[in-house]
Amino acid sequence: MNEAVRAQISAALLEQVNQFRFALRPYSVGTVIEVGDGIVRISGLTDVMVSEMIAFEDGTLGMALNLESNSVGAVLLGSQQGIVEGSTVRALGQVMSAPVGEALLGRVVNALGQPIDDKGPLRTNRMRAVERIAPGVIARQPINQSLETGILAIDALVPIGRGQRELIIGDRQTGKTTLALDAILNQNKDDVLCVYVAIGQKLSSIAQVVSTLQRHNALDHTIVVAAEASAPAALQYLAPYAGCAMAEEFMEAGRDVLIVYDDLTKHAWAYRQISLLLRRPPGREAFPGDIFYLHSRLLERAGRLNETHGGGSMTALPIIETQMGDLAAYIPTNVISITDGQIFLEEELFHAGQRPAINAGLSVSRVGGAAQCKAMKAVAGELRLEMAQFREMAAFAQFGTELDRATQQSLDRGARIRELLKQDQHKPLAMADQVALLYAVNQGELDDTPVDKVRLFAEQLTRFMRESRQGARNAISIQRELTPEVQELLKQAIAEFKEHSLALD
Amino acid sequence: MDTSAHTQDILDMISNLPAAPETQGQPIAGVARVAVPLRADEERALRQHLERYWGRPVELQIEIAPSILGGVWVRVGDTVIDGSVQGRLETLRQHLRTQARIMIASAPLATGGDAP
Repeated sequence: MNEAVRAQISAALLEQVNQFRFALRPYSVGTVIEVGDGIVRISGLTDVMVSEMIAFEDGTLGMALNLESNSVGAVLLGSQQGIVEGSTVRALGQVMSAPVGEALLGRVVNALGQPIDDKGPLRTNRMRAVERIAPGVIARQPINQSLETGILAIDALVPIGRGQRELIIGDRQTGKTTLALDAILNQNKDDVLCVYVAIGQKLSSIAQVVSTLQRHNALDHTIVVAAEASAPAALQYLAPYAGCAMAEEFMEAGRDVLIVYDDLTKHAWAYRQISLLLRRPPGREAFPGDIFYLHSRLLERAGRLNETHGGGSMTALPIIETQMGDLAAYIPTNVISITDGQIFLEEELFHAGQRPAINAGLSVSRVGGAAQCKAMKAVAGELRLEMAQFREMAAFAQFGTELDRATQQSLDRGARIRELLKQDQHKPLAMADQVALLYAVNQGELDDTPVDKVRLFAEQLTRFMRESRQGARNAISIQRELTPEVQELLKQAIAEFKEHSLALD
Repeated sequence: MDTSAHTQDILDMISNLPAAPETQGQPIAGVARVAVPLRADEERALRQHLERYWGRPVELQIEIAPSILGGVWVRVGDTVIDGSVQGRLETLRQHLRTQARIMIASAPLATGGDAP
């Protein structure tokens, strides 16, 4: 370090020391009377607030949760080693907060917002309480803009609007995380910022998510909040609220944010553990009485603010893991009733090669339809109907009975649509390409393609459109409507492509 | 450092704390730590200020604790008023730390090769 820099630093320090004014701030203290399982019982701390941060002698942080007449129950936000009975606890005078701001983008942090990657300290000083009351009715506006996930089956059948809460639910290993990750990969920095909250997951899975984001250049617009399986239950409990606070900061600045909670089943488990250890009365499945409120207050913080409040939005994609497809279990039903729809992933479909394994019958989006652009609405409306008919008839067809022509045609069309909805992971499709594909299948342009060639057709048509029909694609993405001119452009493009590809064969 | 001036400083600060609403409470026990023995008038002033702050009689026990370096550290009930030199230094250290963070946050990224 050279002399000039040294002088600069000492001048800055001296200035700070001179500016420093000491003020007496009386604070509450208490004494640890019991410690174990990440829970501390403290006597004293008379003036402590609920969810106030507390500090132990060794610097470990905690959070006061149970305020009783003669003791305080708190959870540890770190290791319980070094905390001994009789040691002093100090109230810090502020409720649980996390750092927020643009500086967190591209970073991996824990539930307290401390960086756990190797990119040095966070360059932000803004803090925000992790628990906040959701924006009120006055501050909101209805959902009217779509959030494109790049996944054909979702954008067409269960469209998601900005500010919506759409649950992703399914058994383990059915592609829930992949689906959410693909939605993140399809966003870009100028449009939608993303927060990915990992709760109770293996560190190896988290590392994989981070590397996937990095590989697809999506980490720049994403914050990863990680509370791995080995983290204290209190941190797993806090992580989604901390992630939500980070997203809220952007939303209130007028940005659109997508937040993924992966997954809330483990979050509920962590909260159950804390509650039982704090001796709160257990209810159904030993979950505490406020387990519904736990998730409702989190998910209510998503939404679309109106123009006077900046017009930002927070779209939430909570994930729930079911056991053997049981949607009627306690936590799944809770979260289903809180969210604005769900995407149900089925193990059977997954193993049958239908990926993403979305069950089109059980998946719904209660508000996203209003946000879908006209072009997509036009092609997806027919699709829904075809799919419904197909499902009905597919049951009959299993008996191998003779079918009339209309039925057979409907079955053939259905099989092709199903094939078209298959999509490789991490390969998002632009809206214009989705519209083109759906338009082609609706117009019967795929009816003469063998079912096992449908995906090849789709892939090549998309490439053809990208390479030589940029005009038609632009027309769709700018007008966002299937005007007769756009239809004409599409028809021509498809006709030319078919000629072209037939020549190739 | 002139300890008695420092003690006077802290006593002034304590006297400036908002007083508790008058409670006809029981006397409350408390501990005061000082680095060097207080003069009689200082001790009287300390007791007075504390009773005004808590709004009830304080049974104050005074300990000599050189480790606090100077000033007064008081704990009455569950509340601590830390006016010790050690406590002030600790606050200063935290202040400098946050200021340094703010400076890093507002400084341009990567300053070049000669950083330590």
